[in-house]
Amino acid sequence: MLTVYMSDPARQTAGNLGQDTADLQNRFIQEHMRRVFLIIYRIVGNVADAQDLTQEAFIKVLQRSEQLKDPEKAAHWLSRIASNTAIDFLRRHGRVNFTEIDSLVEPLVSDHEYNPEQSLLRRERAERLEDGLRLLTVKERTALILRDVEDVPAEEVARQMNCSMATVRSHIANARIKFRRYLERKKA
Amino acid sequence: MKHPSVEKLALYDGGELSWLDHLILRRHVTGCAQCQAEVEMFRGAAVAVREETEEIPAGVQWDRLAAEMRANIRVGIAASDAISAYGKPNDAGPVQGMPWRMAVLTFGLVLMVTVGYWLNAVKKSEQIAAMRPPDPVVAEASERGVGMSDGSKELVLQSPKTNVRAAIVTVSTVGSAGARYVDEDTGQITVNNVYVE
Repeated sequence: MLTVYMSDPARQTAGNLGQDTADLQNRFIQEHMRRVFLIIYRIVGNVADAQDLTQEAFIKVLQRSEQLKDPEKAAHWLSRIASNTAIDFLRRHGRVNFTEIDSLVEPLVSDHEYNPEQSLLRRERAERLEDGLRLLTVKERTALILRDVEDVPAEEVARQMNCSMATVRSHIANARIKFRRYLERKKA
Repeated sequence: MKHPSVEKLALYDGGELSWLDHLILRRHVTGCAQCQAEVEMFRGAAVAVREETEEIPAGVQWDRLAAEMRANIRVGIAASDAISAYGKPNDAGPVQGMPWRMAVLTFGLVLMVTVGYWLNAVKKSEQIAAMRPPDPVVAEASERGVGMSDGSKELVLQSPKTNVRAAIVTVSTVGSAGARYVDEDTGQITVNNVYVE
């Protein structure tokens, strides 16, 4: 039986050997969770799937904790895993499901968290983006998010999406044209 | 004047065109107000996408969602550690061909170190017992369960089955103890953690 006396925190046990790794993992999760969730959410289009896939992406990366020694590389690797996980998910399910947040079984909604004005503004902006992204095909949306939001080079986008550079260029161009026209219509 | 296609204009600012196409387009765009306006509109749309994708979806309570995801990730990693630790051979292979003199020497050394360690440990435990404050809160973990006690009261989370032994047992000085079990029959993973506050 291993025992730790709380009155003397300086004492170390064999159970503490993984503490540094755990701290490193917690910091890594804290730093990148929002970004990763948003990448995945913008690709798959609904909160529940984005939550599951975000968890999956982090677990995949943190299973190989030696990767965390180089934080920059690990962050880059995490982005790749995140977008690949989302793309694989859409490929497996062959669908794009834009579940409305209000229709989630247990909505993660807080009506009183923000002031009404700020909340309305955020809702309008998010809805405008989501409506615009909804006009794009899965491939166009994925290419647009990776290239224009995540700033992934076009060659890397092609690799991740498993298609040629010409195809990726076409997806990116179509996505930008559709989105721009959508914004113009909104303004008009 | 012949204008470039809208697809090329959409790719112009993002740098996805070949250098030759880019050069040709740049020459045209510099002298054409209409195409310049087109490029400007694509630039504005790209900024809008970037800005708006930084927003958490409307209505999502991020703090709560993030806390839930963090907890699930920790359980996932714990389960993955338990699976990889399960079935890992504990003993190294048998030592072959060790000469008897070496065996006697090794035995002597081991005996000497053990006796020395035991004498030292007895002395230290007497010192610790003298210094220890009355009834400290302790977190404990073994292959059979995790728990904590303060001398008079005790809380123990036992192994889910009597024949299941923990694949991983951890104790930390910040006041937590954990045991992870893998059920050989069902493959079910149980993670028990206790935290002293």
